[in-house]
Amino acid sequence: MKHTENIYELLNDMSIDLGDYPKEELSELEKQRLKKTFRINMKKSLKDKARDGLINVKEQEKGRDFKKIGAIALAMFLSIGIFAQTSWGKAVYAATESKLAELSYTIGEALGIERNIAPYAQVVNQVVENQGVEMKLTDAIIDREELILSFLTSTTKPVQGLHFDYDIYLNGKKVKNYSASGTSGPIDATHTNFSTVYSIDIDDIDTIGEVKIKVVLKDLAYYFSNATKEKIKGKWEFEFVASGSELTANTRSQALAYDFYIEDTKYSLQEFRYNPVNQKIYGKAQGSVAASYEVDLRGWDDLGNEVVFYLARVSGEDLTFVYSNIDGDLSNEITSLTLAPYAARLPEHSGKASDSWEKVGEEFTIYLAP
Amino acid sequence: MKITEENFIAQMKLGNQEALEYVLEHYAWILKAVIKRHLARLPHLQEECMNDCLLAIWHNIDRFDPERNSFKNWVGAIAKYKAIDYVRKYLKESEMSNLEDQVIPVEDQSLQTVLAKEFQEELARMLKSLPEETRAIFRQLFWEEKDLQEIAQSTGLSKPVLYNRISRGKKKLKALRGGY
Repeated sequence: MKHTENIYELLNDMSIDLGDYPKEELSELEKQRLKKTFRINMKKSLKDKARDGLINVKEQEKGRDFKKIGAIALAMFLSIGIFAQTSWGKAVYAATESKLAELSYTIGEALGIERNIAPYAQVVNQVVENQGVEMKLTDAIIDREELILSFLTSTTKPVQGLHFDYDIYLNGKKVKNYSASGTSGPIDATHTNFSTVYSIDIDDIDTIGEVKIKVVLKDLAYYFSNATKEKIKGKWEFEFVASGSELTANTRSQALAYDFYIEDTKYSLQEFRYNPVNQKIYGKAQGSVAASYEVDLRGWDDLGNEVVFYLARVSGEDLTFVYSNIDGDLSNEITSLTLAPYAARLPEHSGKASDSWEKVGEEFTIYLAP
Repeated sequence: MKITEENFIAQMKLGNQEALEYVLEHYAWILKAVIKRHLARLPHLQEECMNDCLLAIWHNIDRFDPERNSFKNWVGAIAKYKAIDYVRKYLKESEMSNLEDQVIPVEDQSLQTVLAKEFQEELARMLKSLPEETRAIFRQLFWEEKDLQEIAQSTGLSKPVLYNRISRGKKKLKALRGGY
């Protein structure tokens, strides 16, 4: 129908007495069918728009290959430096002009998490344009000591990859000296649309109340297949409010008491903390921290699925092992995990990962409270 | 984040599909009730019409104005409009099909007659209190799939005049209970 926008506007003024209609509850089956058809219709709608040139990405091409990329976490530490002031991104970018406005790529998709984590994410969906580059902050999650941010980037030309840094402000205060891990990859064959997720370790982030968050993206760089790099000047600024209360309410914790040694360093595992977004084992390392080792906790759950937690963070004596979802989510049905520590010494003159893993402790079992 | 009665509209505007699931849980009964009533004689179209309404709510949430109507009434109005439009399209397609086939089964004839009668009654109920000119605009806008540009050309009225007529018509329609 042509110009139906007039009709939906006019329908604000239509009165209808719903008391005239007997209430008709939907069965679960009907709801499921409606949800499924809605998703199909949405994809069809996006496909039609792509065909008509209104957007340049086909929704149905997304989400299939990204998990492989998303599971390979690249740990990096941010350098906080002085940068030249350049023109700021437009705070509000007209949706009609935007290539990214129609695109959605949730934080769950970007992280390769199969279960529905949308209830714990703050949907932001702000698009900012600068230098012809569109950045969309799609959603954010606050968990203990962690802020996860998911971005889409529409580049000005096809690129092999991209990278950007950022500044974070919580309740108006700039966060300093934080570490982060990130994943990034193209979401379609055009290589002009990329998804990037950053998991930023922020020790004292409030997980109960509302947090005003400002994110300023900067230092964007394109990478090309011939190993060349192009820097894009500019900043892209986002502001929103988020809360981690829902995820906190759905977080469970199991105390652990298990020790193992690597050379003279004692590793003590103290807590398994899990929720729909993150599954982490916390511990301490005492003695000289064996920073030149990769450490995994490997084993199986009671359903027979292989499980790996990798050492993702070392901060002073504090250790954090994170569940690797490369083979899928940690099942909701499990009642126990049986793990053993493995370590591999990193080469001293190269960052290349070692393949000489050794078991460095006995198996132990974590029983999850029902 | 948790979707609640307070934030579901804002979240839909942000593109959060969880918010649409909230609508499905709390407001889809309106779609079902209204569509079931107005498409009672065309049950095979009811599910398609519901899907159509959900998509319409999703794509047009920016057009919902809480100061002018409650969300549930807006949803009900969309359902009624869509259902009646489905009847109109069914009658139009049946007419074309009958012209091509030249053979009209008796049962189809009777269904079409009843539907046509009901359709006219619903339409008349909606339009009856409007002045003739405004009625013509609404008829063209809603049922003849014309946009304002086309209506302006066919009536010789300028767009501002059309908007004014529509605005005045809407006020009258709002006064009607149980209909548009």
